[in-house]
Amino acid sequence: MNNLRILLLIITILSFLSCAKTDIANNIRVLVKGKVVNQNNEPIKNASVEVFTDANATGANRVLLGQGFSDDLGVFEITSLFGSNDLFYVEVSYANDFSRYRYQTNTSEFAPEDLTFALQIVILKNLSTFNYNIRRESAEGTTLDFSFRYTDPQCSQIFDDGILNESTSYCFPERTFNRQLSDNIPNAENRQFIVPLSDTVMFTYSINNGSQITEVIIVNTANYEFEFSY
Amino acid sequence: MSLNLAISTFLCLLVSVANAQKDAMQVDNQSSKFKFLYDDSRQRLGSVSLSYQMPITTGSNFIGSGFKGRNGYNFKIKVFPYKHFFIGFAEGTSQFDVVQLSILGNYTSSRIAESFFYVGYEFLPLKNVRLGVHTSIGGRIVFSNAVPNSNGNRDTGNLSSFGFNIDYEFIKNLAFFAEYAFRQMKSNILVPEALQSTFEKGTYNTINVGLRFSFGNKDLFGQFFN
Repeated sequence: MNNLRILLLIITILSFLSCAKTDIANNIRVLVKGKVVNQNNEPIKNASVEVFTDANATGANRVLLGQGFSDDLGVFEITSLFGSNDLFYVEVSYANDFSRYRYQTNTSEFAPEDLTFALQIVILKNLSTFNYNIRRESAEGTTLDFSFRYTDPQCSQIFDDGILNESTSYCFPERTFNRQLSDNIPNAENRQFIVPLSDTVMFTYSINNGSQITEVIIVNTANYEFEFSY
Repeated sequence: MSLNLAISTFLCLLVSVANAQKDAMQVDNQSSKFKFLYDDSRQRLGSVSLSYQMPITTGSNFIGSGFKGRNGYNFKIKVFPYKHFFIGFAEGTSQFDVVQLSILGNYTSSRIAESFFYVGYEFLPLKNVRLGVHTSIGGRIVFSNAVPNSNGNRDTGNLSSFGFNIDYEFIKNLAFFAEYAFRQMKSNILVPEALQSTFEKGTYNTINVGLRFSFGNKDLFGQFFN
């Protein structure tokens, strides 16, 4: 009997959770507009622009509200449906070897007065995969402290009531990661991260806690191979 | 404004026809040359019709540029209050496929529900043939849009319809008919200023073919006063 009650309770809770719906408002359209360029400020034609909304609740679906492509000048003007939901976002992308851009806001209590989401200039950067192999060739007991500093090619801007929230947004931020190689893990092989093509990566290392040395690497191919031994 | 003008013009035309009709009735005893306007022997009280509807989008607006008509149905009922003047009510539905997502937003198709009252006049150009013209006098249209992964949404507006029909009576009370109408929606869709010209109005044509059943042999006025 108790099991039956628990089962009924679970079913009731699940049924409430599954009632969450992504709202699409009646009798309204919004305009999403902007211009897509690459890192050299050249227009990108046929960039994909997709507008989504999501109630961001259990059981709610992400809904594609509008979609289109940029023209020869990289300009796009997409007519989109609109809904009052926790998440309203625009994703701009091109090919797989280009970065993506995301505009995000909460429309549950906000809609632009002119019903226009003006994204201004959207920069999509051509990407390169930075592959690296670091191997120890010196005697056991040798340690290597190293770091890579590079530009993250992704851009995500989050707006609250139409104002950019800088603390939660990021756009081409500088990233740094540090590692130490020693007897436990002497090598770092077949590792990779994504950087903008033609960008620079700073490789800083120190052997046996000695002085730090920095190499500036210009990533000039789509698949950059970096080899280092110590 | 243009709708008011059209209705006014149409009403003036009806009044003119009514006056001509009086003359025709007087002349009818002497000559049959005005039977085009009125023939008492072919008077009906009303009719109901059911038809297949083919919507054809037109114009540089969100319907004309964004949709392609698929099919539909229409039901009409009308009565003749006085002679060959008629008033009626139409209720119909049509399916549209979305062909330009970037103009409309992301939905795949729309089912429209259209309803309107209308007035008109029926001419009798040939034996067994009736020719009607009509204009709507207040109508409503609702687009139910099929948005993937959701319950969809709706767009509404006011509907105007102007058209004509030709009926062929193959037996006394039953006729095949074909009808053409131009329909214009004044939409309630809220849009940015840049999209105003695209969304403020939507236009489409309809071609209907169907069957009409007529009943009675006196007009409504005649039912009570003759």
